[in-house]
Amino acid sequence: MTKKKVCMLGAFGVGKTSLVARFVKSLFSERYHSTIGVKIDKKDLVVNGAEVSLVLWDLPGEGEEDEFQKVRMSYLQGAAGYVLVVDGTRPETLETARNLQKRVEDTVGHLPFTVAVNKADLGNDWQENPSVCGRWQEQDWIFIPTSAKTGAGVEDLFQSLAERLVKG
Amino acid sequence: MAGREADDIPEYSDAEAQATHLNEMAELHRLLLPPAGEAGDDLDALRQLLAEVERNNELTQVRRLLVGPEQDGLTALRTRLEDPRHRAEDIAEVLAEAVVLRSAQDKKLTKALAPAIAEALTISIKKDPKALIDILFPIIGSMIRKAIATVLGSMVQSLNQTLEHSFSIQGLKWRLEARATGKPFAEVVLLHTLVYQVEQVFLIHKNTGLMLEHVTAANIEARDPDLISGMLTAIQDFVHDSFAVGQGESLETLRVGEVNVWIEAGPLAVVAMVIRGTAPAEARLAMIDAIEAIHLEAGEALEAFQGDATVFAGVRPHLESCLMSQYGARQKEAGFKLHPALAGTLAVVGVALVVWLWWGWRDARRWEAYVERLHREPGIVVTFSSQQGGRFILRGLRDPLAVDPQSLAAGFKVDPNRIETRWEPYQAMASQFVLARASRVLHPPPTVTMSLEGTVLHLSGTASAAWIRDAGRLAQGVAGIESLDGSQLKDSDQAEMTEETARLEKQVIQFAVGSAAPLPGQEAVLQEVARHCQRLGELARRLERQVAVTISGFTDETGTETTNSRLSQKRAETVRLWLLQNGVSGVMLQAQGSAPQTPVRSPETEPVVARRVSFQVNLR
Repeated sequence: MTKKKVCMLGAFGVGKTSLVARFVKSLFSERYHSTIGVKIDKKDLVVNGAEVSLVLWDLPGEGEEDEFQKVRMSYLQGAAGYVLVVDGTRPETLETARNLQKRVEDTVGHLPFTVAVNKADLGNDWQENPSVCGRWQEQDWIFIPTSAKTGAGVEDLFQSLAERLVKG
Repeated sequence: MAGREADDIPEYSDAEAQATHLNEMAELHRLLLPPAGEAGDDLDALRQLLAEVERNNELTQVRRLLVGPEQDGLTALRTRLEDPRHRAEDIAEVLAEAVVLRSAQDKKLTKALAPAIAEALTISIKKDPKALIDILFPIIGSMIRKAIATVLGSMVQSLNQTLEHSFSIQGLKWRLEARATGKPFAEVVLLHTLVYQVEQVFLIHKNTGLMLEHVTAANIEARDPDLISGMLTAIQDFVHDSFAVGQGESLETLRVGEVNVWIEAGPLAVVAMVIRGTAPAEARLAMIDAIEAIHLEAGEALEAFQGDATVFAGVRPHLESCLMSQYGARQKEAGFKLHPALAGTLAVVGVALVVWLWWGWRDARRWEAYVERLHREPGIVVTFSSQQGGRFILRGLRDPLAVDPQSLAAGFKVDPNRIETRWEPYQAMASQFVLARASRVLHPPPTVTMSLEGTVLHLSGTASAAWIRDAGRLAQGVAGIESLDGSQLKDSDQAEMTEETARLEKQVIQFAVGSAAPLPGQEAVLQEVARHCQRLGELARRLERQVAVTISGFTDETGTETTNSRLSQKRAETVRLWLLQNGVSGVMLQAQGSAPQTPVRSPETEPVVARRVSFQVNLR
């Protein structure tokens, strides 16, 4: 059994928590977010016939201006990778994701990550906007459309990340 | 290499060398040559070999010419290398630096030296323990101080617990226990609070917060240890980020109620223990031992950890050694075993309560039975009964002739002093009360029997005429009696009069022949006669009648009639006189001689009886 620490990052209200809530093993309540700033869940997967356990550190959503809402980078310590969650209907959440990604690179160095474009069920308008898409495709980011509501893409999101982490 | 080869060749003269070489070659040839066949090939090979040797020989000479001086140096070097004393000198020169260099690289040198040093120390100490004592003496003091400080620390902790528990119900219970067992209170508190169980032990990778290994006590069901490990790490980070704590300092204890989480961090891994109860300092030491042993054994694996926790299965025994517990008292508590003293007190209170309730119940039963008895008692009408706070209240009517209710109480074990009564008097119409009342009013003599039939009082038996007369009058005033029936009642005086008359008339006073003096011994008869006469006088008075006793004298048939007549008269007079002298009223006595007029003669009459005086009673 291989275990990997994976952080869930993203702007406030992108649906990170709902994204994982229905698909992971959870022991702790939502209140942990507001109290100690992290909620830990677990996702068991099978990669190449071997069991892989992703310990998901679900960090609270980052607000635009509020200092108190800043994600504690110390929680990224020891992470094997992370998931950046953006709201497919709010392009500005991509900006937050970019900031977060940069801060991760600055504080803990480069880590594999996947961008989950959530609320796929509502339609991903931003992808049709070349000014937004163009900027990010250059960076060789991996985007996976997900929907917490329908569950679409969620398994794929974790599965693909786990595969990369095991390989890496 | 060239130098060494030259060195290896012994220094012979050229001719000798040549000869030797040839011999060697021949020998070589003999050894190498196959036993048979292909002789032509072998010969060629041998020729070539010989040419080679020739060339070498020349080369050797050239070499000698070229590197002669160096050769001397090499010889000297070789001598030095082979000489252990020289080698030791060389190593001694660089040993210290080498140790420093190697220690900086890795810990292999330390590991390699450790067993030897340990053994050396053992031997040394065995050989001369005093030396060790001398060495340790200056530092052992501070070690002891440190140990004492630790112990004091834990004592302060227990003191705190003592104070904490001083004013709780638990504390009160423990105080009772302390009193009962004679132990100091602090010791009792310690005894109870030092009970604990290490329920789970986590080994957590420090950098990633991932759970590497996890052990639980046999009776514990653990929730997802992966998540808990992560959360513990997050909490560590949270504390670190939120409060200004020094580098290397970390959260050591979490406490919620009786659950403690002890965290001991090493450089690469963290051991966390979930303890229920208050664990002693040894548990912390066990953790420290475990984390140190784990770092020593699996340090490299910890450093290289990439998510595969299976490699840490080998450290389980270290974690398991932390699964300490102290049962006993806590189990006792779990089973709710009371302290004997408290149990005793409770038992006494319980018994007292039961006895009290039983007493109350018994009193109530007795009271009910008593009241029930009073209801049945004639002459008593209970109109109200109640039990109020240990006192009994009775109200009602009571015939003065009825039994005293208080006296009945004793029969039912009801304390008469606790009874408050108010009885209104009344006259019961029950026959026994009417009779009792009649009895009190009439005072009947024992010879009279009374019975009641409706409102008629029947009297039977005998009674004096006076009583009978009074009874008819008095009975009218007795409640419950309207008339009196005295038909069955006999007048006792009249009856006695008849009896006395009969008795007196049987009496005979005897006389000797021709004498008017009674025979000797007739005194007693005369006394008897006197008594009868007196009694007859009394009865006649009571009956308001006149009584007369005729005293008749008699003679036998011998003698003359005149003599006899005179003698009989005299005999009667003698008796009359005697009776008068002995208190019999003269009014009632009448003496007469009757011999001549009425000779008494009957066939059965003895001659002695003929000379007599007899009596006759007449009532008017």
